[in-house]
Amino acid sequence: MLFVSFDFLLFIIPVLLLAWALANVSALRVLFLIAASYFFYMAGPHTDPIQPPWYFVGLLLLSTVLDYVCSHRIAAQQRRLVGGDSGTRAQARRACNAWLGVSLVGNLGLLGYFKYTNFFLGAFSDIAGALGMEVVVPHLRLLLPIGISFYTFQTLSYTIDVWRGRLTPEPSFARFALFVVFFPQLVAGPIVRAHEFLPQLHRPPRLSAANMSQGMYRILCGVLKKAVLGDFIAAQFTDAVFAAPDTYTSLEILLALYAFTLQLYADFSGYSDIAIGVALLLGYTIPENFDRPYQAQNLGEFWRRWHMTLSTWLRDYVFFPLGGSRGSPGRVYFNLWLTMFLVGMWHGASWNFIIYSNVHALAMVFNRWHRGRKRGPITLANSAPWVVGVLLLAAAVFGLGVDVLHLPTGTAAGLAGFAAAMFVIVAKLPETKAWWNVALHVALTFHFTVLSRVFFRADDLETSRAMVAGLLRFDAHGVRPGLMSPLAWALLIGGIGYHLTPKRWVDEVGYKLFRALPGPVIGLLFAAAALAVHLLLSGGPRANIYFQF
Amino acid sequence: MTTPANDQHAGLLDGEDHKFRVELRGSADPNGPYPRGTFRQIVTAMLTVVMAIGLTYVVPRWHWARPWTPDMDYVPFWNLIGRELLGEGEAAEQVNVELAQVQELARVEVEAEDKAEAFVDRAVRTPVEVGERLPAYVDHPEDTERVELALENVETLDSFYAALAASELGYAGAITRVMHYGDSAIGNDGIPGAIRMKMQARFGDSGHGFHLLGQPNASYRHQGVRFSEKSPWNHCFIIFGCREKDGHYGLGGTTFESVGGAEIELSTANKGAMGRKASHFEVWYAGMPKGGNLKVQLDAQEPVVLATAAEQLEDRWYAVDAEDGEHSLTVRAAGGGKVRAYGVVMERATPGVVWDEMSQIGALTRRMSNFNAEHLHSQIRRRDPDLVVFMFGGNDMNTQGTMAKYREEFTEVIRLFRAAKPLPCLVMAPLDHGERDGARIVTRPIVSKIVNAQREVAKAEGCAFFDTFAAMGGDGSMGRWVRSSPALGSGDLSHLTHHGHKVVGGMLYRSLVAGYVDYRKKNVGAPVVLPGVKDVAVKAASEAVKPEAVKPEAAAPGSAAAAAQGPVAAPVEP
Repeated sequence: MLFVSFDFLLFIIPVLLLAWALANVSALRVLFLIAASYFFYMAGPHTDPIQPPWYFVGLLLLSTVLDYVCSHRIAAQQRRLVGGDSGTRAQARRACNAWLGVSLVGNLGLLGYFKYTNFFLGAFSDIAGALGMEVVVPHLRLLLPIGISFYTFQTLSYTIDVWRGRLTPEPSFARFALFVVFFPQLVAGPIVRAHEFLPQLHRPPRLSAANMSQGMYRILCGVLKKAVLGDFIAAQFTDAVFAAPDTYTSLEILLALYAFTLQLYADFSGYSDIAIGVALLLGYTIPENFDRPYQAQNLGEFWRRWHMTLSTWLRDYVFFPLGGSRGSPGRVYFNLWLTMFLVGMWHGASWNFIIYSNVHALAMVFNRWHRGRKRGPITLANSAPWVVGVLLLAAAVFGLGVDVLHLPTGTAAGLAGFAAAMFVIVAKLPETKAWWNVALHVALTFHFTVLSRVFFRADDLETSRAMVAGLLRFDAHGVRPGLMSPLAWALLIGGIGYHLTPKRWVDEVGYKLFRALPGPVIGLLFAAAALAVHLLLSGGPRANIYFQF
Repeated sequence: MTTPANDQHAGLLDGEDHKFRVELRGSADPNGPYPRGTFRQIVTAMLTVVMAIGLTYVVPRWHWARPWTPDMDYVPFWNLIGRELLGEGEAAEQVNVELAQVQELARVEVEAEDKAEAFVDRAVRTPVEVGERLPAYVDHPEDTERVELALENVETLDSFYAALAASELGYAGAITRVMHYGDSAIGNDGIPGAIRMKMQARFGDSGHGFHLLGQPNASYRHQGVRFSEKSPWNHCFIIFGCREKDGHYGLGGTTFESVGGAEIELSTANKGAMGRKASHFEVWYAGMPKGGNLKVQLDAQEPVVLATAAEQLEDRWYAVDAEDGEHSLTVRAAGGGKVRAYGVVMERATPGVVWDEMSQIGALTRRMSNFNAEHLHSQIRRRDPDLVVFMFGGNDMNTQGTMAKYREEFTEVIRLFRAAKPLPCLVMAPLDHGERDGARIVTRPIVSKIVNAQREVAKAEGCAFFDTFAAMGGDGSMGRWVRSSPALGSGDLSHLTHHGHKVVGGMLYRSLVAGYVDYRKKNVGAPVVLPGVKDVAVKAASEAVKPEAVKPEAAAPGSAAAAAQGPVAAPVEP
C-alpha cells in the first residue's frame, strides 16, 4: 500500500482508532497490529505493471518463522557454551554457527534469487561474450517481492545480534512477527533493528499528546516532500529526460540530474517521515533515516546522513566484522571499499549499480585517505605518489569513458583530465572552517552526488551512456522555453533551497508553530495537502522509488 | 580519528563498534487510562479531514476534488479486492504478459545492437543486363520471425521491393534509397535508425544517406554520424515558415546560412555495426544572387572553394568521391557573401539500403506544404528515392481542425512529394499518445481518429499503411510502455525511449520484409529492376542523374573555386 493514497487514508483511520482502543490490552494489540500489517502488505493498489499477488506474503512469513526458529536454536546452543567440557562447547559453537548459516542462506538466498538472479545470468553471458564465447542464458520472469531487501536485513540483524550474544531471543512469536511486519516500515524502511524495536513491545506504547502532534507533523512534512517535491517534479520533467536523453540538451540533462537528486531525497525522506510519524501515532519510535544529506561536507559525512539505517546496518554487520578501521591501511581501505560497494549494490542488480557502487566506494576510500593523510609542503620525495595516484585515476576514468561509456577518445580524455584536476583541487583545499571553504566543500560533495546519480536513475547502461554523452556534448542549446513549467522551476529551486536551510527551522521552529494549532486547523492542512496531491498528480502518487529495491 | 558522536561532520565509517546487550523480557503491563486530551488534537484533525472529503461527495459541484470515483478509479485495496474478489486479476495479468513480451522484444533488440559487429560487405555482382531475371527466393533465417502487424496495401510497394531485390542480390549500383519524413516520433533517428540497422544488416550497407548541415534542434541526429558544429550556422526550419518568399528549405526541411565562419565537420561512424565507411559525398547547397563561397574539405585533402553566386536562386550539388573507408568532410562558409546550404549525403557504392532520417520536430503535417514544389521536386529527383515514408500526426492531435480538413492536408502533402517522380509511399500511423485519467494512463480519443484518417488517405492515394498505434497494443499502450521496465515510452506519454524506438523499428522492419518475401515468391522470373528506375534500359538512360555518374562542372571562370578544385572533386549541375 502507498502512504500517499486514498487507500491508506481508509486504512489508517480505523487502524489508529482500534490500536488506541487496545492500548492496554497488549496481546490483542500485538495481534491486531500483525493483522493490519499483513493486510497493508497484501492489499496494495492497482499499479502498472501490477504488484506481486497477495500470496507473496508467504515469503515474509517464511522469513519470520526461519529467524524465530534459528534465533532460539542459537540461544539454546549458547546456553550449552556455559559450563560443560571443551568438546561440548566446541559442538555447541559449531551448532550456533550452523543455525546462523541456515538463517543467512535462507534469507540471502531468497533475496539473491529474486533480486540478483537475472543480473548474474546476464553478467555471465556478457563476460563470456567478452571472452569470445557465445553463451545464451535464460531471462527469468521474476517478480521482486515488495520490501524483501528491507525485511531481509531486518530479520538478519536480529539473528546475528542473538548469535553475537548482544540480544536475547524474543520469547513471543507474536511480538517477533510484529517486529518483522510492522507496517510503517515494512516495505521501504527505515530498517529497524531488533534491539531498538522489540524492547518497545515489552512495555506499553508511548501514547501522548506530544507524540500525536509530532507524528502528525512528520506525516504532513512527508506528504509534502513525497508528493510535491518528489512525484510532481518527476512527472513534469525528470522522467521524460531519463526516458529519452538523446532528445535533450546538455543543460537540460544537467537540470534533470539536479531535479532527480532533489526528487530522490524528497521521495525517500518523505516516505521515512511518514513512516516515523505513523509509528509515533501508534506509540512506537523507529529510527531516523535522513539528516539533510546534501549539507554534507564530504562523502563520508554524506553517507552518514543518507539512508542512515542501511548504511549503519552495513557498517555494523559488514565493516566492523571485517575489522573496521583496525589493521593495515590496505586492509582498512579494502573493508571500506567492500562496505560501500555493498551499500551501492543493495540498491540494484545491474551494470549501472556496479559503476555507481564503485564510484562511491572509491571516493570513500579517497575521502578516508585524504582526511587521515599527513599534510605538509610538497617535496620531490613525497610528490611521486601523488603523480602516480593522479595518473592512475586519470587512466581509470579514461578507461571507464572509452570502454564502458563508449565516449569518443577526446571526450574521455577530457573527462579523465577533469577527474584528475578535481582530485588535486579537493586534496589541496584547506581544512579551515571559513564559510567559503565550508560552502565549497558542500557544493563539491553535492555535485559529486548529483553527477553520480546518472547511474542510479538510468534504466540501463545504454541510458547512462546517452546521459553522459549528452552532458559532455556541451551543446549550446540551453534550456528550451516551455520545457519546464514555472511551478516546476519554483519547486526545484525552492526544494534545493529548503534542503540547505538549518534543520532546526523545520524540526523545532516549524514544529512549535504546528503544535500550537487546533486540531480542526491541522485537519484542514491535511485536507489541503491531500487536495494538492490530487490536483498536482492527476495520475495518482507513485510508488516510493525505494520500493523497487 | 574523531567519531560521529563528537564531530557532526565525521564520516559513516569513522567510528568504532559500539557493543551493547539487550535482554528481551517483561510484559507490556497496562498503562492505565491516558491523560485527558491525549487524542483531542488528532481526533479533531481526523474528523475534519473526513468531513472535508465527505463534502466533496455531498456537494455535486465539488466532484473534481473527490479522491475516489466509482467506475473511474480502481477499487481501494485492489490487490486483494479487485484482483481476487472482483476477478479483475486475469485481465490485468494478461496486460502484464503482453507487456513482458514487448519488453523481451526490446531486450533482444538492444542486445543484438550491442553485440553487432561491423557489417561485412558481400560480393558485388556485375551490373544488371537487359533480360536478367529474378531467381527463386531462398529462405532467410528471419522469415520465421513473428510479424506483429502486416502492412496494409502492401501491393503498392512493388517497385520498392523490386529495388530491394536487386540490392539483396548484390547487383552493382543497386542502392535502394528511402526517405523517412516525420515529426518528433522519428526524432533522434530512433525509429529510422532502428530500421536502417536491420535493413542494412540484411540488404547491405550503402551508407548514411542525407544529413543536415547542422543540428536545427536538440533532437536531430543520425546514428553513427559524428558531427561537430565548430561555429554554428543560422538555420531556418520549415515549420516556422521562415522561407515564405521562396520555399527553398532543402530536402531535409532546414536551410543553413552564414556570411562566413560557420563550419561543420561530419565523419563516418567509429563504432557500431553500420556507417563505418563512405566513398561518395555530396554537398547540397543553393546558388543565389550575391552568394558567397563555401569551402569543402574531405579529410586532409586540399579544400575546394565553391562560389555560390548565381543570377537566381537555384539548387546545386557538389560531389566528391574517395576510397571506401572512414572519412571526414568539413563544410565552411568562407565569406564573400551569404551562403545557403542544405545538407550532405554520405554514401557508398556498395549495393544495399540507405535510409534517410528527415525528422521535422514539432511539425504539423501541413507544414510540409511550405516547400516550393519545384524546388522540392528538384531535390527529390536528385535524391532519387525508391520509397518515401511519412510518420506525422503527433502534433496534429493538438490542433482544433476537423478530420476532413486533416485528410485534405495529408493528401496534399503526399501528392506534393509524389509529383516529383513516381514514388511508392508508406504511411506510418502516429504512436499512441496517452493522458492521465485518475490513476490510469489512457489513450487520447484523438489518436484513433488521426489513425483512421491517415489510413483512409493512404488507401486513397495508393500508399501502404502501417498502423503503429495498433502494433504498440492499441488503447492504453503508451501507459503500459511508460511503466514498463526498461521504459519503452517516455514520461510525456507521447514519445518513445531508446528501447521503444528499437521495438517499433523492429516491428516495421518485419512487416516490410514480410511483404518483400511475398513479392519475391510471386515474382520469380520477373525482370531485375535497379533501384530508382523501371528496368535496366531506363536505368542506363538515367545514369546521368545518379550521384556516382555526375559530370563535373567548372566553377565560374576566373573564380577562386576554379583553381581550388581537386582531381576527383567537382561541383555538379542541378
